[in-house]
Amino acid sequence: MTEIAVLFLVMFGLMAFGAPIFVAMLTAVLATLVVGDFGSATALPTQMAGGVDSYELLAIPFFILMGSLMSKAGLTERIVGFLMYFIGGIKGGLAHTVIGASAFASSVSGSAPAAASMIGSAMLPMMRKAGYRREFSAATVAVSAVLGPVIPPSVPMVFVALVTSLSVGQLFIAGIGPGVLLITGLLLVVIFRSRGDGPIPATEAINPYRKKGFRKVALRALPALLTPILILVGVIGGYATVTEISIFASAYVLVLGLIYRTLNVRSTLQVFTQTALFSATIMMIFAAVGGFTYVVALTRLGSRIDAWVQDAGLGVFAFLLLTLVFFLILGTVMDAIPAILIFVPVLLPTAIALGIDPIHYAAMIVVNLMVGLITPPVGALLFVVTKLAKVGFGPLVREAGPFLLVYLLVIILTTFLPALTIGLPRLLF
Amino acid sequence: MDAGEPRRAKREKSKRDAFVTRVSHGLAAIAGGALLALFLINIIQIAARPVMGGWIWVNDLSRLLITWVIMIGASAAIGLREHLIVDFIVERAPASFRTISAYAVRLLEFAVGLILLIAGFVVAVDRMSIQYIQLGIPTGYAYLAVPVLGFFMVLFAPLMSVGSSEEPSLIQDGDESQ
Repeated sequence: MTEIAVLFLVMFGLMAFGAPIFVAMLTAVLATLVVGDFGSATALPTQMAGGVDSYELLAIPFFILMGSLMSKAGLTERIVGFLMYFIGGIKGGLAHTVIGASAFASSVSGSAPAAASMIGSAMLPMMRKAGYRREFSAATVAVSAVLGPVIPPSVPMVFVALVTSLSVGQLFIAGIGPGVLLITGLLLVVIFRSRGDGPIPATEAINPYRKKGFRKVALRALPALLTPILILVGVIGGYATVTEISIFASAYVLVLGLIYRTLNVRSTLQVFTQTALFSATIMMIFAAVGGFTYVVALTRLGSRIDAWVQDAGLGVFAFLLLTLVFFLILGTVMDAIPAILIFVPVLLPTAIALGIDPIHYAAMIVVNLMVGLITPPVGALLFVVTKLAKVGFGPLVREAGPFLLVYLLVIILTTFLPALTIGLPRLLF
Repeated sequence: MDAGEPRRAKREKSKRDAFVTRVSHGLAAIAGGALLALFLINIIQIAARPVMGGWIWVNDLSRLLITWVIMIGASAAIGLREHLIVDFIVERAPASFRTISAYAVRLLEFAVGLILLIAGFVVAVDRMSIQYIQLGIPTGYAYLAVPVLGFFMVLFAPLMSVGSSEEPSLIQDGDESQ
């Protein structure tokens, strides 16, 4: 028990002190090795290198690469144009477009803040010009970007698959149900806020995309629209591994960028460098998890939690409720990926022992953690958007309130209605 | 004390920071190049497989390269202060606490780096006798990436000045996790 206390106290203590998460984790592992007399420090590099020595891990940098290439190649702007053609003219049309385009952009980039940046820089000036309240526009951009990590292909889901050996294809598909519910809920909030004198102007500005004609707008957007379809067909059809699909999809977007001349050799190399750097920061946590999992196994933390759950007589409902509350709180102070990597492997065996479907359990945790991106005090997305839209943090949080209620409702539904997550995977696999 | 001394110290400090930034940008470029190599090898493999059956060593080479991309990229991220942190407590703390915690974190990075350098080297040497099955080279070459990360952590920790986190970043706004 002392070892477990040391492991978590050192880790969270150092994180609170501002140490990089991977350094805090490695130090906690070293401290536990010493306290528990579990062996020498050579266990650390062995587990770190062993943890990342995986072909499947390649999916992470290549999904991130695809998202960055899409943004640089201007494909997101084409999608915005396509959506604007249809709904740009209705009341609240720009806000609806933000939600639709974010669902697409972040679904292909797998990164919520990247999607918020992409969509925000394109849509916020348009919304300002049309007369939308600035804080409302910013809130719409922030809350919509959270859709990405839920809708496939989702980088957090790839991490879950890597630490649990669950099927990444099934995890991707499990995100569709909650994703559709979230999109519907967000659209309903916009419709509700469009009534009367609210943050949305009575009439939309002239829609520039309408003038271009359907054929032109559709042809411009078609190759970009094909990207998620390619990925989903590949995953569901099992034509290739998820790693190969991520590489192929990156190549497809790169070729489009070269054809459109929005990418050149210099900008492409820049994207590769940025992707390598950014991927390394999150995959380094995966390397540290190698050491972390090693000491967690030595301390038999999983079986202790299992025994505690049985002693306390916790049923499925109570365990799911505890999980929901735990990850909701954790998500407000900690990034989703470290939270997934540290806690999912520890808690999943107990969930399975209780008869909870592992795909359902993992998917509900991912949905749950994403809300942390838009809730204070951390709310990484809120910070990205305050910079983009030049609005205050407080007013932005207030405008995000109704959207947050939707998220909370969907989290509760996802937690207690397993059919929402595992219905589709069971149908397709 | 000579009046020019603080100015000299400041100049010296900014020189050290500039050195760390330059090295980090170089490391990021190497990691980017390795990622590009990974991409090219795999895309050629995917394209060639239906025609020529592909090459079985690509899998091993990819595992070797990804380990280096991560460790070299992580080294660059140390110098560019790009690693994920939970900073909401430190940001709300008084300036004196922030300074103390920054020095403590730097010391911690140095200590962890030193352990990774020494223990990592021992492990890498040990793994030189175990080969990748298809590639036919020692797996120790992948494990060598860990002490290299340790080396850069040890190198950067004393050189980076506290509070110099506003260096130009390679990661654009929004290129963050999730």
